[in-house]
Amino acid sequence: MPPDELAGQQAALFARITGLPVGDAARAASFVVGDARGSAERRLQVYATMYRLRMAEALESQFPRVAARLGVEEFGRLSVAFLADFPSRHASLRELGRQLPAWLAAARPDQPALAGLARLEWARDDVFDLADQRPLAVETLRALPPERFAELPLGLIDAHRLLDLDATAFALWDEAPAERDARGGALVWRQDVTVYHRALGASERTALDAVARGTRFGTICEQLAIDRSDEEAAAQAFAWLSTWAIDGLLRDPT
Amino acid sequence: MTTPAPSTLFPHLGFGLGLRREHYRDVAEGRPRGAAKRVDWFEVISENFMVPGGNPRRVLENVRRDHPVVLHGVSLSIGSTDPLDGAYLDRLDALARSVEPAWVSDHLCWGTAHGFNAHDLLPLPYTEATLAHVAARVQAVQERLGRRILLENPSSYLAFRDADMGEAEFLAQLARRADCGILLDVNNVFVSAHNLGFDPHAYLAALPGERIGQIHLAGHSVDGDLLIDTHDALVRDEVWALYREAIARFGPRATMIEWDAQVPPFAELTGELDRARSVADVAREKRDAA
Repeated sequence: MPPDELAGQQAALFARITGLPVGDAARAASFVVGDARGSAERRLQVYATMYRLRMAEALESQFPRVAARLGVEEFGRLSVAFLADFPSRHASLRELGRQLPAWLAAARPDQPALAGLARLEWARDDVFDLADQRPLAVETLRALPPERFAELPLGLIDAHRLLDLDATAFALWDEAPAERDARGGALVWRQDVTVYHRALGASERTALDAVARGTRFGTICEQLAIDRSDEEAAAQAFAWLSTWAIDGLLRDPT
Repeated sequence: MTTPAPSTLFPHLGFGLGLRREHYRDVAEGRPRGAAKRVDWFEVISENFMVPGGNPRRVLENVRRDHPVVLHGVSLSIGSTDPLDGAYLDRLDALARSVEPAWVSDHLCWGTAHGFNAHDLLPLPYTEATLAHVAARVQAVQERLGRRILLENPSSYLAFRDADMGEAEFLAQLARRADCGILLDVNNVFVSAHNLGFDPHAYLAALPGERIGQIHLAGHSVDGDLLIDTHDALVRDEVWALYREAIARFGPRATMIEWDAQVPPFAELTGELDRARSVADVAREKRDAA
């Protein structure tokens, strides 16, 4: 069988099994042996069923709380619809759900909190295996002379995500009414091998956006001092700096 | 545990398990007590560790410190008519250089078409033209990775009308032509033999034993008249019998248990591994006596 013929045969089988329009699905059965144990269609259907289940299971593992809220049947239907728009093009199933949060937001405009929950779940999955980097140690900060703080370069480790997320998505995650200040969205990050997330106030989000771009500690203090005293600004900036360092969120600049 | 097995191109690593996320902590902390010591080596799914860092790489580094590791891929798609995925091979090569596995394996199958990935191990029509196509790709992969790879016989639920040879004959010719190894999945032989109606004993007899470097064992399930390779149950007695026959025929081979769904506690898996040791011992004694 020349490769061209093999390519046509594979395209037909792939179309029959996945439902993707890459070949003539109706021809697939003509290539397959059918017998008393199973017709050609029955045998092809084994692969088609396994494809649908495998993809749904992979998405469920990446979005377990979205799946739990929707239930098995509804999430299964959602998976089929999503995969028709975003079939896998990657060697690893890890990438399968990357587009699902945005797709869900468009597909279910009446359920923005569900799309927010999906964004949170994907971000947590996404930082799980990003590159390890040495974080800025709390001891390094403590040993820094006060006069050098203003020039301290700040950056975030790669294993973080800053999300625009409102309190309703947190409520779905917690399965409880939201009573937190989430005007700054969410911070998701990994410390060592554990993934965390928390809600952000608006001013901390602004500061973290600046740190993510790369800034200096003095610049954070100056921005905070726009609507408060220099002492209050420095106290707030030091409090955040301490929290970020303890959380392993800051990249060691050396 | 890395002594050469008789008449094979590959070292005999002993008895291993697939490293699964459910057991990361057990393996790292040696729990339950002593269980991890009964595992001579680990097989890891290559794609799960083609990531920059975090827990997966940390676990792999820890395991590799104490055990031989082999890389087992599911996305090489060696039989596809899509071009070989250069970026995938680069990542696999980088992982192999980092891990220094005893060997790298994947499946005799295809799973991609027109750039899409079904994440499945789809069967090939066993023809002379397919053999030429796959052999050329295996040689290209081995050249890119700088190492001999092993290909595993898949579990199959269908066969092709235009096939002009059996799977064992195809695999034997491929191994010789492309100078690659064979990962013999005994459960897959049993499942495919039932589904497609061939003789599993003749299948074993047709394989070049010196090319077999590793053996897989796993459980399967029943779906009507067909058997499905689900990796979610104990190894069936009929598969143990076929394993005994394989060891008696080929000699000791690195053997591992695959379990991917409804994964049981680590201790249950090491118990299944102990059974593999016992079966292999009996088969080897019979072989030696003969």
